Amino acid sequence: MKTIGKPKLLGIFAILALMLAGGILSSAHAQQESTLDVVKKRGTLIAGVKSDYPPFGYIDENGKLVGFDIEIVKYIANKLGVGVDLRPVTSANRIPMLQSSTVDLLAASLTITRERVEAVDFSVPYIVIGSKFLVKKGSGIKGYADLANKTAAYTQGTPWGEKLKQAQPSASALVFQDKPQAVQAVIQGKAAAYIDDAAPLFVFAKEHPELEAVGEPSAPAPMGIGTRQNDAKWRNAINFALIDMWKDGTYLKLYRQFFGADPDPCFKIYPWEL
Amino acid sequence: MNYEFHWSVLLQYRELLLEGLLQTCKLSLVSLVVSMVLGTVVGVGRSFLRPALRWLCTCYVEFFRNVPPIVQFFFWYFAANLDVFPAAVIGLSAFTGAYIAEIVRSGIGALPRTQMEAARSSGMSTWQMIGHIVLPQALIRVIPPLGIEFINIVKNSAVAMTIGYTELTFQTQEIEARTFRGFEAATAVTLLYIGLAFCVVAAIHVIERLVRLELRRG
Repeated sequence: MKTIGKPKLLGIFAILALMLAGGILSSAHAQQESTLDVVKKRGTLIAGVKSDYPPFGYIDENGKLVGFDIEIVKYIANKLGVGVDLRPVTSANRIPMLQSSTVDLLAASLTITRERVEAVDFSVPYIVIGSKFLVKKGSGIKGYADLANKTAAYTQGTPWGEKLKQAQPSASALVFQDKPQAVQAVIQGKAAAYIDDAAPLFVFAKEHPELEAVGEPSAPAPMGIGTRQNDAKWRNAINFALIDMWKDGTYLKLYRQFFGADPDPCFKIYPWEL
Repeated sequence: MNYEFHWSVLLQYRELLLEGLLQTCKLSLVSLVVSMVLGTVVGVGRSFLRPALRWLCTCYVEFFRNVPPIVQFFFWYFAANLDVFPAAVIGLSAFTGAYIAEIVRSGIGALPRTQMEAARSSGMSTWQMIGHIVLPQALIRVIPPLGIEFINIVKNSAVAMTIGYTELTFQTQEIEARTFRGFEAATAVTLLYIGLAFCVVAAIHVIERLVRLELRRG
């Protein structure tokens, strides 16, 4: 049997290193122009959206990607006069997808947090949403205190792992990539609770009568459209579209359609006008 | 887009990477042993058992080889309701075992018929013939393709993160999710997987040489 000699091995490593460096450099030296110009030139808005997270972004019975976030993307694209290309993302990969320019914006139930503003810029908050524990009916779990020595599920890329560790250090965690697996884990008793935003958990609880959404893992928090940092032109275009959406009544119509209720009366997208 | 590299995040989260590497090695090694045993048994079964049992072995190979690993992981974890680690080991081993079975069968098929005839003429039973004559020769011939399967085990172990197994790719995503430094994490995981694959290749190489040396000595 012929063997690979040392010089050959080194050569292979050198090629790999070159390939790696090439990829990194080319991505580092990408364009500087505003995403707004890129989108207009391309004629399509590439948006990162959720596909497993009702009512923000999910697949309906006809296999089509629908949801509140998706309607917002369509509205923004309509305002800009461009088409829409929806790219499903997960909680874990959404911010890297934005940073690597795979998508132009994130309308992916992205809660505004102090950690995240270090990495992305946000539009004005377009929704404020609470959070819940998804548990089996009659489990008696109401809050972090009841999760002592139990297992809680969450999905990677959400802040619930950190929250859980702080609020209930004795609980162990089960971390999934997608939401349906976390729901399944609760149904099968692999996890006592699944922590996430309230709206989708209500939908999951309705789909699975043996489950209920209870408690308040954290105070209500705003979500925003995520853009790459230092691209004010692009962020402004998105902000103006969101404001228009609120003003012309589309927002309220969509909110009622997808959440089956009126938005919290305290919440409002301000018109930025005197 | 002007991406600034902060390689320090890798140092900062080195414990996560190390933990992920250990979990990947643990899952890969256990699965390697299980799938090797499973594959050898089925491979021998497809070559020597009576038709009904041989048909069962064929069913196993065709079924587990043709179902994507992620579906198998979900099956063992959610449908069969196993814990994370057993589900991951069984999922990975059953999938890889089907490939190894075919490799072992091809190794057996490559043996000259005269070997079996000679074993029979010396009064060996079927199982003695398999243990002393067939397997030692067949397995040596298929060491290179087996090495490929072992590398595949390491790579496919990444699928276990879909059922919440905290292996290397999972921990890389965790670093990405916590720091948003995607390129750094991806670079680290690429190098670690290449390193692991080279370790497997080197180990196989050493084993092959030792075995052949042993054979030459008699």
